[in-house]
Amino acid sequence: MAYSEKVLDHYSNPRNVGSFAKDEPNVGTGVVGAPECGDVMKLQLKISDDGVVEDARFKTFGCGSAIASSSYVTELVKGKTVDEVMKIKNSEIVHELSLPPVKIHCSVLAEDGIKAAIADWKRRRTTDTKAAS
Amino acid sequence: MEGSQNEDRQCWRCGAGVGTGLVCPGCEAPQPPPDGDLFAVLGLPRRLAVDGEDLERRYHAASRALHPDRHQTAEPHARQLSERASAALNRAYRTLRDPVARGRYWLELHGNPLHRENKEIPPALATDVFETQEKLEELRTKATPALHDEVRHVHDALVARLVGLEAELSRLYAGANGNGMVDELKRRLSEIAYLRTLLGDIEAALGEVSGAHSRH
Repeated sequence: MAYSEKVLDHYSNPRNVGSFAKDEPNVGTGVVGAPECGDVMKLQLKISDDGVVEDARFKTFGCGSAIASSSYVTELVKGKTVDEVMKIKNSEIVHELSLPPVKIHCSVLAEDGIKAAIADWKRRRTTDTKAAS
Repeated sequence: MEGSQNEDRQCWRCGAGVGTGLVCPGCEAPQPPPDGDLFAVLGLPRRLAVDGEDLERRYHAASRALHPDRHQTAEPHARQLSERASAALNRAYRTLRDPVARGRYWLELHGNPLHRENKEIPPALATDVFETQEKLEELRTKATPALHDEVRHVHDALVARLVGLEAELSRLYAGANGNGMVDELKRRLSEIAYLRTLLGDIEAALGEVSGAHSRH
């Protein structure tokens, strides 16, 4: 199966690889996996107090499409509000990277990763607020 | 309900009852493979526990009965059916002889495939994966003998862990086959999938490293 040019670009030149410290304030971390192929993804978002994604990092261990999907999604979320990020659908990733049907689950993984990161950020923010009050 | 649609099947050629058989017991004509159930293709109930020797016997008997040599002078319909039945037989055998593939298939049959509602990785497992992957990254950039040994050690421990998990799977299969064990089955099959992928990455990294050495 041939990868599309955009997949190859993100795969050989991934954007935003790495991680933030988990305990850094304003960071939400999502760790998700695709058990059908064993791919594992960690996606982190740094979110400002007014709910805008300022930066993103990822570490994905899996196939080229999974790495490209995470790389693309970290670019896509920057500058978006939390509400906008929650509306991102995996179909946007499929379309942008021209993923074939057998690789659609890679885009689902990336969507799940950002949503898990936002959920973690919300959870941590609630705990922090409670702790502060 | 299980397999009921297959029980009263009749031979298209002589009308004898064929059940889930791939070949008519009366006139030996190949039959259409039973629909949508690889267990039925081998005449087995939908159970996770499968006796390996029994599976081999069933597969070889059906393969012989469907062998193209036996049907080459038959009418085109029979020849075509023998090919269809052989393809179904091979797929059933490949899927059911491997306990992991069998478990995944069983989940699909029960309308709850492995990936459904199953995105979360147990934190301890995630830590193992990320820590090992970091070691592999390090190994790819600076392959010291000590690091190589360390990764080799992780590799061997992982192989042993997988052997243990597969043994646990057999014990699970020998017990209940109801919906009550679906979650546990999914958890174990997922862990095996993540560890197998990790093992593949470790072997690739060790291979790359030793390959790099052998080129010098």
